[in-house]
Amino acid sequence: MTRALTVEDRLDRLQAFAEIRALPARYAEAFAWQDWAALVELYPVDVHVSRGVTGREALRAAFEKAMGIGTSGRTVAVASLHIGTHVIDIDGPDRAHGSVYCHGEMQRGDGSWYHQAIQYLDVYVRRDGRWYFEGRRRHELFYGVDPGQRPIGLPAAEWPSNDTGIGTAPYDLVTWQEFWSGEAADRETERTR
Amino acid sequence: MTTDGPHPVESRIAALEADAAIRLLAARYAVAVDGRDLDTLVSQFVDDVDVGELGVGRDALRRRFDAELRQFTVSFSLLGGHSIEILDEDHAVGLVRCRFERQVGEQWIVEALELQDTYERRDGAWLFSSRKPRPLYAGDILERPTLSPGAGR
Repeated sequence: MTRALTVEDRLDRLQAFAEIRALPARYAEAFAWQDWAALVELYPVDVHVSRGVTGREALRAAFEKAMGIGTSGRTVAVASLHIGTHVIDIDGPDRAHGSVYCHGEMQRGDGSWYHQAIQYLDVYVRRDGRWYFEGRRRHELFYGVDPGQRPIGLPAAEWPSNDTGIGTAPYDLVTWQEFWSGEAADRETERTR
Repeated sequence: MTTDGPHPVESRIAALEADAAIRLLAARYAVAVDGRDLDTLVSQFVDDVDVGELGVGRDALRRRFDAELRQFTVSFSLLGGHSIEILDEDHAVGLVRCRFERQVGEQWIVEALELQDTYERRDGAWLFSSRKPRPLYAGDILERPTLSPGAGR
């Protein structure tokens, strides 16, 4: 496969991996220091924010709103996002998608803490030779818990309505459902034999 | 191929490509375990993978995964450090650190382990030829973990 590619193509691809790998790391840095100016630099200048709303300023406002900044109900005081397990799929010279795991330790405005196991689903785009997150990252939640709590038997988090509870990952995955439904079917066969 | 010294540009690029591909291989494996994606899991190994008593090849490997991945329900495989040593253009070895959380009945087991890997390039694709887990500790999240035998040595 690589034989058909020129040296230039191969270097482009390597550069894509290196730059894309840095994006979630920078995202975590920005959250650690609540540096929203740095955060929105990770998105294209014309980033889509919501219906009819684009641009980094609007994105910054959206992040600040989500964090509860400027209101009495500050929702996140500290966010330590420990990332790992980064899968990257290059779709074309200027487009890629990926998945990043994150163990997040967050402190709410009231001083209490919660931990989340997160899978971010990302789309990356290259503009003028630089890679960016295309838009808001999809935040798939495995679970959110109070520290010292097992993530078992909790109510559904229905993120982002609640920061703790059981998420939709991995339950919503077709592969996960098929793996376990196979087992249910096998058990049924055993029983009726 | 250029011949500009002991490490021609071609082999330097190939080594960088190997490093990137192997890093992704480990990440895809982790996500496939958590998503119970057996097709992806077995496709990441060489087709003559040694599965011990279960035999050789991807069908045997699938049977092993199918049994092992029923021992726990939800899992979350957070990878950290990954060191890779390229041995030659088609062989490499590596160590991957993983914080592996999983639900086993009413327990939530947290395990810190290392995966000792060997990699091979077949038809241009880097694959696992073997993966050996070496746990440091494992235990319920509310308990003090037990040191695994041989850990820390």
